[in-house]
Amino acid sequence: MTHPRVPALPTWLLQSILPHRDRDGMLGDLSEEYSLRSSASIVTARRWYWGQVWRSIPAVLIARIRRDNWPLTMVVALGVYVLVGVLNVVGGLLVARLLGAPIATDESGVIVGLTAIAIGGFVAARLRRGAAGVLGGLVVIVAVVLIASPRDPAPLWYQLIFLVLGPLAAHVGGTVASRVRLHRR
Amino acid sequence: MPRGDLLGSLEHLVLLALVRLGDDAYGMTVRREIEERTGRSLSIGAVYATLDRLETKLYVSSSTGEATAARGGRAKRLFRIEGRGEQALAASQSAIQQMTAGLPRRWRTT
Repeated sequence: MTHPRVPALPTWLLQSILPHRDRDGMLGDLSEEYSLRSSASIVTARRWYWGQVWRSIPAVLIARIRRDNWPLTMVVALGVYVLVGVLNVVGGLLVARLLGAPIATDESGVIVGLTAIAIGGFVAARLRRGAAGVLGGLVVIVAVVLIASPRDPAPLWYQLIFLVLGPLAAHVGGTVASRVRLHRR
Repeated sequence: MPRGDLLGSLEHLVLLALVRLGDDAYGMTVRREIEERTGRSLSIGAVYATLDRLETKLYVSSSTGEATAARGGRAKRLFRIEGRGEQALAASQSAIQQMTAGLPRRWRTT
């Protein structure tokens, strides 16, 4: 008997915030019930799955905040955010020197910025579990503030890219750090 | 009973579900049991957060169960109530019964 595949995006979302010990249990439970429900209606099953994931995210995050030493994680993420800023400036200067042009908010700026955030995500995850996620959150907050600010000289598309891809870059960096950690065990 | 030992309402329901389910208690059966009996729709995340909290208090313990194709090859995490959890549950039940004793019929639990 074949079993339907669970929706990939909500599964990835939930998996990325779940503590390791809950991962197999919770995702397996969701998969099991999705399989049962999809035999009646795949549309209803998908809606149920998405609903479960969205409603689970706040509970999982609150549980993590309670369990982990959250203030320390925040301090680490803020420190790494400063490092990301430094990397961004240094990277921008290097690219400007290589290209013989001033530092710009264009494609090269996006590449340098996202690379700096990904490196930051890696460093944050190496220093403290969960810090890469907080770093991603900080990137979102700063991007929203800059988009809302009339004084920000960068074009809207530039900030929107950081709003969407910034947390993803932090997550990728954090995932690489987790893989490296697992590989070394 | 000391204040710190009082169960929250969700903790209370989850422990009762563990008692009812016995050896078949894992996240989804606990969620379903509560939903079917109380009509309260819970997210699996809320159930796991409660079970983790109860495990930290040593009221429940968990073990790894079977992994099936329907579960995407992921193992079950089975839960069982421990002695301390049974004591806390009994104390909580007793507190509710004592608080409802003598009240009009509609407030009584039994």
